[in-house]
Amino acid sequence: MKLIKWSVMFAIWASAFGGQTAMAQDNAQIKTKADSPLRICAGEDELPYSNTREEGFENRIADVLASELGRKVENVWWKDARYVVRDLLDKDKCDVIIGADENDPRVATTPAYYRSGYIFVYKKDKGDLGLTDWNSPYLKKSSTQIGWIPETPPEVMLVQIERFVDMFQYKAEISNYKSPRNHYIKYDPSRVVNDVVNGRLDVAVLWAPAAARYVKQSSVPLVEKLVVDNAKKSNGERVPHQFSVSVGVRKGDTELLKQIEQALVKRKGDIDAILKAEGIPLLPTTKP
Amino acid sequence: MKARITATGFAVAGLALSAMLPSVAAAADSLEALGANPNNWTMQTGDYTGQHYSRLSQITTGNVKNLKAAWSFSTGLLHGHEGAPLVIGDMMYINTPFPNNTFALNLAEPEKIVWQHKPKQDASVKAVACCDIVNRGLAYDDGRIFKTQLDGHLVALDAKTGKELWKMENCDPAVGSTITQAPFAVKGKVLVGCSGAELGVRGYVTAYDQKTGELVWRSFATGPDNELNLAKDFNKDNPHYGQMGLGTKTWEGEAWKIGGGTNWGWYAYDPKLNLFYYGSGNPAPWNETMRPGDNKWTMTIWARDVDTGAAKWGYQKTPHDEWDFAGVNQMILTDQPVGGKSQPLLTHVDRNGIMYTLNRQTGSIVQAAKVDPAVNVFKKVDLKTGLPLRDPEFSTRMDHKGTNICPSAMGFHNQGLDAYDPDSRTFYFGLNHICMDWEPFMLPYRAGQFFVGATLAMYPGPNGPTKKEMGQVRAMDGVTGEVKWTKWEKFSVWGGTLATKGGLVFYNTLDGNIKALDKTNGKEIWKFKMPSGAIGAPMSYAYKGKQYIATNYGVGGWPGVGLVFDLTDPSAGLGAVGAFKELQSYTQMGGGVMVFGL
Repeated sequence: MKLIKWSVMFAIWASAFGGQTAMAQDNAQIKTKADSPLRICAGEDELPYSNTREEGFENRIADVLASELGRKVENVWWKDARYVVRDLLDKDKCDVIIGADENDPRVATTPAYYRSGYIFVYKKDKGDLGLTDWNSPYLKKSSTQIGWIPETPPEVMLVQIERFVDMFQYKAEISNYKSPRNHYIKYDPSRVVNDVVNGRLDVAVLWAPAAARYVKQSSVPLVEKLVVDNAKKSNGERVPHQFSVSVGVRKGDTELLKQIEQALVKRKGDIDAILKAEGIPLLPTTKP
Repeated sequence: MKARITATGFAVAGLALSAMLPSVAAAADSLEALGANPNNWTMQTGDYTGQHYSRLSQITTGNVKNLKAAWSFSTGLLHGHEGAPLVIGDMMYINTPFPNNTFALNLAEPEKIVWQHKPKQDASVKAVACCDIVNRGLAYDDGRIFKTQLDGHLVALDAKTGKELWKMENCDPAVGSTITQAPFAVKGKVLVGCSGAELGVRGYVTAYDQKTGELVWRSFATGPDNELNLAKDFNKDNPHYGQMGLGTKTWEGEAWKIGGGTNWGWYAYDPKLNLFYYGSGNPAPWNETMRPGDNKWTMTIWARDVDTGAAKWGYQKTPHDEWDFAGVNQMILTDQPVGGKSQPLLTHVDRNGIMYTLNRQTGSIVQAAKVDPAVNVFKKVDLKTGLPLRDPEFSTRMDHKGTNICPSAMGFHNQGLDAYDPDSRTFYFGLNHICMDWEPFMLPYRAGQFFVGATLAMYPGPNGPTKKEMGQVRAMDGVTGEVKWTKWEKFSVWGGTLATKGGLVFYNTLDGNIKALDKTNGKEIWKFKMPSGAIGAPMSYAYKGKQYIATNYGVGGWPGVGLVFDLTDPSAGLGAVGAFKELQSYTQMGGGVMVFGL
């Protein structure tokens, strides 16, 4: 059976994991040569971040970084967001992840180059809904239809305010009725924004960088409002709604990390301009 | 039950049929009378006992070698064809997968279609179905054909003309709820459930009036006692199974509202006790850490009053399921001596690999035996408490990588209909022999978003003679659990078995063979390769004094999802593609009915 072989291979690969990283480090010198392209790990259909037509804002940021390094961009496209680090970055098939969480333990990260938050998105003609955070009474009303992307902080908070069960249907819809157990399900933020526009939802709670361009492009005026970052579970555990974004490289690829860190500082103005053009609300990258 | 029908009863039914009046005696037991005539095949389970046994004896171990294709019929559809045709008098009724067409043929002239019913359904419902777009067949009673549509509708047709008499929406595809189940006609009502437990659909069984389509009662699998429709003396004979309040108390918060437990399998009915039996499915969501508790009453064998739907007893086989062992499989009713005294029994082979035999009047456990020693998720079932003793090594927790978990999520038994031979008191189980590895993942994406899931790899179990076998037909004693013989198969025996008075056990293989075994020793004595693999069980009927064996063919269903959808990702289709990848070297898609006679 092919499948068994595959699992065996995976086990072997996993045990060789450390060795491979070390090997990658040895190769770092060769790869960072100015005449070789900068290999970006990029989603082939992952707007607003990237796509093969390079319409994403991370495609723009990659261009800026590559030009600062005096190299060309070579996109190494992925389909399945789950395995980018395991199957591409760690296997030395690409070198740079443009948008990684600041503290993602799987990769080496630069200091954050921007910080943003989750936002409430709703139609402007709804007036003032009094939305500030998850304590807002509007969210607790059983008639309020709330949208979100599965397995994000808003899902944790929907459980906390006892709205998850009655909004569970939306999770099935946005998952195209596929159980995520054994499938990769790509969630489309533009669809959630569109569900606000078409009235399926009263309000959506989305990561601002994922939603910004669709809010901006909307045919009807929409309001976007940062969720006050005070969410807690009933046990007191904080549920962060603001995140800092870094560039990630393979662990041990220190030379490339250093070069990118310098490029991020030097080209901060250009990068901020890209993020602002996208409509992303930016917060100070120094943590409060 | 059958004993109550006199020889005169047969004659009357036969006469009415020869006149082909669909409005044969509207007596409540008319279907029973029709079923008592072995020439007919009136329901998917064979009869109300679910024994899936034909009392026709013209085809025997001696002459089966002369069995030849008599005629065939193409449904014009690909995808998996579960279920089997029905035969009532001189008419045969054929069902198909989505778009759920129905064909009526006159056996006097089977090359001509008497009527066809082709419903229009929104194609988007196909995306909601988990495991191909199958349908498990039709029901018949009192001149009406009852059918289900994937889009959640139950439909009644005039058996004579195919005219739609009424149509009721039972399940809402907009919330992930569809129907693949065969309806069950009993006492002037039609029973039906929904699919979609894995999408958090809260399960219920509903009775509709056969004449008007009016809803008579509905009983849920989870939730408050009144919605569960528990009789006041629910589980009085086995209070340790649990009684009141547990449909909400065994869930966190209001999770029972999205708790699954849909029933999409088979029903059986005991007219003497006026009880019907069925199993509720798996709890939702699949990630068990999200739903602490026993999650009652998912994974339960239910005994309910057919007039009111009230539950007399319920036995949860797998509290807090972790494997997707949807408990909806066939219920087979037999009367057998236990310790020298005849008892009314119910036998059920669950996906979890346990053959349960209960007293169907009280729900008390008589036997709980592994259908194959490979079962390792449970060490055993404690007959006193009814609780399974789990082996944590083979659980599917999110913090645990499990290897060689047996059975796999597909179960050692799935939706197949198996046979019981009352003469030798033997069950013939069509089984899967597939185990799995379970590798959970929780991978960060960005900004607090995660991908939570598991990779399932399915492969043949350890006990086949070459270790490559994924299926078996196993003859077993339901009371002692003794295995009489085993016939191994390369692929799962997905559709189940048919036993006949002629001493034969018929079944289909996924790669498209219909086979006949000698019931005494499991020896293969006949086979025929059909145009496509088969995932339903054969049936038998007689017309003009001649016995026929008929079966749907058309590979698909869960084991065939790779073939049907041309998937290549081995982790897609809940791991089914990997296990059955070889199937495409043996068979391709097709769809129709094959009929065999001497």
